[in-house]
Amino acid sequence: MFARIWLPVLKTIPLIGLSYLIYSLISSLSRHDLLDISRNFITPLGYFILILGTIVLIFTRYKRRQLHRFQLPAIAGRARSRARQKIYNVLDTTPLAIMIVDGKLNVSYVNDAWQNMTGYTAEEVVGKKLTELFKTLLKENNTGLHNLKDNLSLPLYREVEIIGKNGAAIHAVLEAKSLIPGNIREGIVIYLQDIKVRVNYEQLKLIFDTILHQMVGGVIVVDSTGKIQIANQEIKRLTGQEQEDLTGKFIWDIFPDMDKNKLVTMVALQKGQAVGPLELCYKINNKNFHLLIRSDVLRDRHGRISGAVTVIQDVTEIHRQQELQNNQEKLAVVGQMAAGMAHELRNPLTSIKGFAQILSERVKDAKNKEFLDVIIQEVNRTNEIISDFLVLARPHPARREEEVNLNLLIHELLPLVESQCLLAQVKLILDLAPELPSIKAQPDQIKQVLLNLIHNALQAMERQPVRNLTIISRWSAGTSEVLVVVRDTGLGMSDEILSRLSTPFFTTKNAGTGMGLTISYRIIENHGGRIEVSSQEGAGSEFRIYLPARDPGQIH
Amino acid sequence: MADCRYYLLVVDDQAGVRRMLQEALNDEGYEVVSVASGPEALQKVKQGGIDLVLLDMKMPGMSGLDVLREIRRLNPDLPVILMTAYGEYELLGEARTLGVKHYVSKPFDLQEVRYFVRALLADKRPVRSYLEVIG
Repeated sequence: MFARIWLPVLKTIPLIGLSYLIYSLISSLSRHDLLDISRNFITPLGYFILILGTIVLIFTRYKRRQLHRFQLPAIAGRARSRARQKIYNVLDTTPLAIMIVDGKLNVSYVNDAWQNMTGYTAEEVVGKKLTELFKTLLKENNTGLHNLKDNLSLPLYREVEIIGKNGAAIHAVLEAKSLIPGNIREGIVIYLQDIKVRVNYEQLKLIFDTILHQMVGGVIVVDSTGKIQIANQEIKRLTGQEQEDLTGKFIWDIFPDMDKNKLVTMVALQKGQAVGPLELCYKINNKNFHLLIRSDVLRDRHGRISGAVTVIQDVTEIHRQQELQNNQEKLAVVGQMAAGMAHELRNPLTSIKGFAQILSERVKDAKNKEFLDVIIQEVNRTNEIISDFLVLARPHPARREEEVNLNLLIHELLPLVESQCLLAQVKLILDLAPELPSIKAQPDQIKQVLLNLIHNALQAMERQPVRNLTIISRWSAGTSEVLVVVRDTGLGMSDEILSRLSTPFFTTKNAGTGMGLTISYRIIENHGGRIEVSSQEGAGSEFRIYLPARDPGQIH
Repeated sequence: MADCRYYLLVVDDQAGVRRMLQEALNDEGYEVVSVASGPEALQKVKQGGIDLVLLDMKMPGMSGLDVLREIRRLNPDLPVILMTAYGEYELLGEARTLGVKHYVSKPFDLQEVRYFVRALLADKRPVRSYLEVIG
């Protein structure tokens, strides 16, 4: 405002003073009155105007210099050029290509990066008109720079194609700004940035972000105090916290149950070296995790520790699977041993029991007969224990599940069931669905459950007048479960017994271990199914096994 | 003179079980021939004069099922009762297709064995008496 309106007004003041003096002189000379000349020369008003004008002139020149020198202090010529050189030296070291244009749009400076980028030397371009230069430098003059007199065109930001001196095109971003905001006549600074560098950086960042968030492991970057700078998607999953909530928190805020100084990240920061990988059990949000953690420190250019990066692999599931597999392997071994042992033990038991029975039939003495019956009962009890142990050990977890049709499975069991029913004088009633979808199961295990239930049913009916064992299979179209019912007309169970059915070692039998039903329940649960029981004391019981159909649409 | 007794063949590698069954079945009036292995059993069946076989499923060398298959080849109608020690269910299905419906699980009740033997022989004449007539 001052420079544009008041300066020209002020500049006229010394001119007015001078003109007044000259006018006085001429008018005096024309009258040949020397006295008048001297009188006019010493007119205080004329001097006053002259002195005032000179002061204003000096002031305005100072002001103009100041603006021209990019606001450098008003300093004498040599010092000024040294200061300018210093600034140019600084500009020469920056990687950004910079060009400075004066108020008349003549190129006054280009830095080293600009020369390297375009291939033109400073000598070739300094002093040239910007518009002329752009005609050779830019592929299309669509930058809006040809009409830079208009202040409104700045600041300007364009993607341009530059033709270097060697003819090669460079895709760049051009940015132009007034040196003094709002005053284009004070000069313009023009930056050029190779878009490849820019794109590379952006692409690199994109790749980095993608890797960071897509990787299976969790990544946390902290600064040297342990404050979280970056946390990826997996960390978010582990902690259940949003990334925005995590950044700014401290690493120990994620693991509140852990000793702050024992956190792998903090140990790495303290030791100044990589720690791990360590497998540790961490508690996060009251859930236990098995984590494989490795942390390494980050250093700046001077080798000082600037933070740490920690990679966390959640191995909870792998751990669980391993444990399961170990257990399964153990069970498989136990199962094999149990099968062998059962065979080896049952043979001598057969002899013992058989001979005891023979003797019991032969002896007349009641006491001896009683003793022999005790032997027989004890053999039976021993055998029950072996049976339960077999059930426990038999689920061969190592075996893969097969497609099983429950009707076929029941048919396979029939020889054994029919024999037992025949012996116990039980009427076997089969009511199998004409069509059943297959289930995914380990057939031996399901057989074991059915035999166990049938065995219990037969025992419950031993002293009953009506002895009917009913085996039903059912499936109704559209439902996803197959149902097998084992129903007896036995003693039935009280509510109290019913509530304790699946409790391990709970038994109502004299010679039972109380593991049979426990194991049956577990087997069915392992198959994704369930067992329901209803019973009426004195009338009988019904066990319903529900198993998920593999594909309800497929019927065999 | 025709032999009117039933001859039962007991096949089991366990001497105790063989001896016990012999005693128990003798008491019932059956003649018992006992052998410890599959090949011996097949020899006896080949020789003829056997009314019923009590066959152990698990024996070293030739398994009960192998023996059963051979027996069926030699004599499709010979009644067989299987003795199992640890419920070889997968084998029972196959045994059923070979016409064997009767099983006893070790350690079995003697009544159980006797019951099945009686049931299987109920409508049959002793083989040897039949042979005698032909002879």
